[in-house]
Amino acid sequence: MSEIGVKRVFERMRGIYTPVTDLRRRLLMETVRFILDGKKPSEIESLPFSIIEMGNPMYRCCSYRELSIVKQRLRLAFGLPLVEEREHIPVSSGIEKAFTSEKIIETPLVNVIRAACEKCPEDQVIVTDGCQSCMAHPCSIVCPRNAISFPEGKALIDQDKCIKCMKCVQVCPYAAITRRVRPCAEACGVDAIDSDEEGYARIHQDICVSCGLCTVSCPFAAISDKSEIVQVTFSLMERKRETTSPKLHAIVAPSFTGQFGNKVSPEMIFAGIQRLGFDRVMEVAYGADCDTILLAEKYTTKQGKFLGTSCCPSWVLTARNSYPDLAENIADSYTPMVETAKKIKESDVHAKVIFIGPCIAKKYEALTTEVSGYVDHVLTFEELAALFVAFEIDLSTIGESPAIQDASMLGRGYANASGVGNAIIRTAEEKFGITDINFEKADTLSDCLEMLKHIDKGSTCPDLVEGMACPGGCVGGPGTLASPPTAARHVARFASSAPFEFPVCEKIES
Amino acid sequence: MNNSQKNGDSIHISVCTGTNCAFRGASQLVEALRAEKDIQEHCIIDEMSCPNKVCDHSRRSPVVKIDGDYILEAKLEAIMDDVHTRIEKKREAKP
Repeated sequence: MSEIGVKRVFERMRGIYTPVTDLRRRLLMETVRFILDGKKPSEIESLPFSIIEMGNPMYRCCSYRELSIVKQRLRLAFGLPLVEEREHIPVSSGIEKAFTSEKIIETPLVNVIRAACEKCPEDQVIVTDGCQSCMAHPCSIVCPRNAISFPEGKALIDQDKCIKCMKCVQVCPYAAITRRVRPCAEACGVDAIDSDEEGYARIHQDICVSCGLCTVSCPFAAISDKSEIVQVTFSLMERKRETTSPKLHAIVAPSFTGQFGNKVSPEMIFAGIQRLGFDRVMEVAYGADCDTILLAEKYTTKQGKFLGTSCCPSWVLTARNSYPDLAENIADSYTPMVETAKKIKESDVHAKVIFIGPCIAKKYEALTTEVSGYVDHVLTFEELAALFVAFEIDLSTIGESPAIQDASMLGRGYANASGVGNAIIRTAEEKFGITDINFEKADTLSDCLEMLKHIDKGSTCPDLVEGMACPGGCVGGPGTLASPPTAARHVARFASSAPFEFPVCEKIES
Repeated sequence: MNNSQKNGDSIHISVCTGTNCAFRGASQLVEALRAEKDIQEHCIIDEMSCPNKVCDHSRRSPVVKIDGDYILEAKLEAIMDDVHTRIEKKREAKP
């Protein structure tokens, strides 16, 4: 619904450091410390107690429920499939499989932890205590379904009759009527979340496109994605121990700037990643440049209705699921992540490539058969920050660091909404002299679907279409640390300091 | 009014925005403090880096120092309350 759409829900919780954020981060950090301390799988039962304190429940009704939930969250943090206590097998069973540097995560990536789900009611228009039983009662007068009565003076909405037209909400002089939505379902732009028989939130995995926005929208931290942080930690430890182990390449999404505070420059972040033990750090904006060139070329030979961008995997999946005919127009090129990884593997087949970004959908993309050979692991910025803390690397004390010169201004702009479209338009003009491109864009999947609906009906006829699953583009991704507006500013600043304006896509030297 | 123009009886708030503390919400804390009009007027806000042993590898983060007093595991609500109380006291102390 557009009145209380994804954007509204996001504007409410994003950028605020809540106990939900705190729990998620402490759990990631303690998980990495556990591995760094050389703990064994058999010691896993002690790990929850560094995250919660028994007898002093912070988040839930009692410590035992907290303990159960934390154990389940830890499974996901270790990259393992969710096991619920109600399945009558130990939650930690098979945890030893996670003690490896290999890729172990599998779909589904985004999971509801039912023990943490509070079964909040689905979408309803309700009358609050603010109702003054007023004489005018415009609410019932404007209701087109006669759903409002006054059994005990106060207004009462018959939920069977209510069609959620919001007319009563708009006219109440006391603002006493409100629409209460389920945050997870409201954040989901593809309507993949409903309730199971018991009332718990349920994700329909056949509809879910792994955008991950529900994970940061649930006020009870009941939805979580799987992490590869443990396997990356093992990779780093292995590399440190055995010099013959594969070289580690970190490739970092364009939205990384400003994620670690105003005082930490992009160069300091790169230097910090290197200190973790990576052999080389590269901008994914480099792959974005390669993509821009491909797409601009493709535009010149465009046959179908329009050219659709392909860098956001959730958008591509959504378009394919809902408008398969229109989705034919989405360029078949890989994402900037894959382009960058491919070029690295071309220069060193044994290299291990770890993508670091704001994105949960990239974890999905890296599992697909076309991509899994190029990208070994995917981390979010939040997971990267947990590594910094656990490895005792303080970015703010890193001094002057070498300049970053992998990408163009246009490539670095990919992280903000309309950045991809802008890069293609500018490049098509510069290289092929094409002007007058009719460009349309949408961010959040519900807006993307709306845009596709209009194109399908023929009410709009764009030449170039950009879709982004997250509000504001990648800077609004679920794996970010900085608030989206701050991150967007930093992205623009870093782009303008790029060594060149237009994309080039040269071979990577080994 | 920027920090250097303020007079000597401003309240001095230092927030650690080192990686350990930023990880636990220090950036949002600074942003929220800077956005408060009353605090802007009466306080000097700066960012510092706390040593690892103070915040115990982020376990006691974020670290905030107000007029020399260290506050560990600083919560925004509590810091706001503390600062406003101090501002109020200064106001009362003035003739």
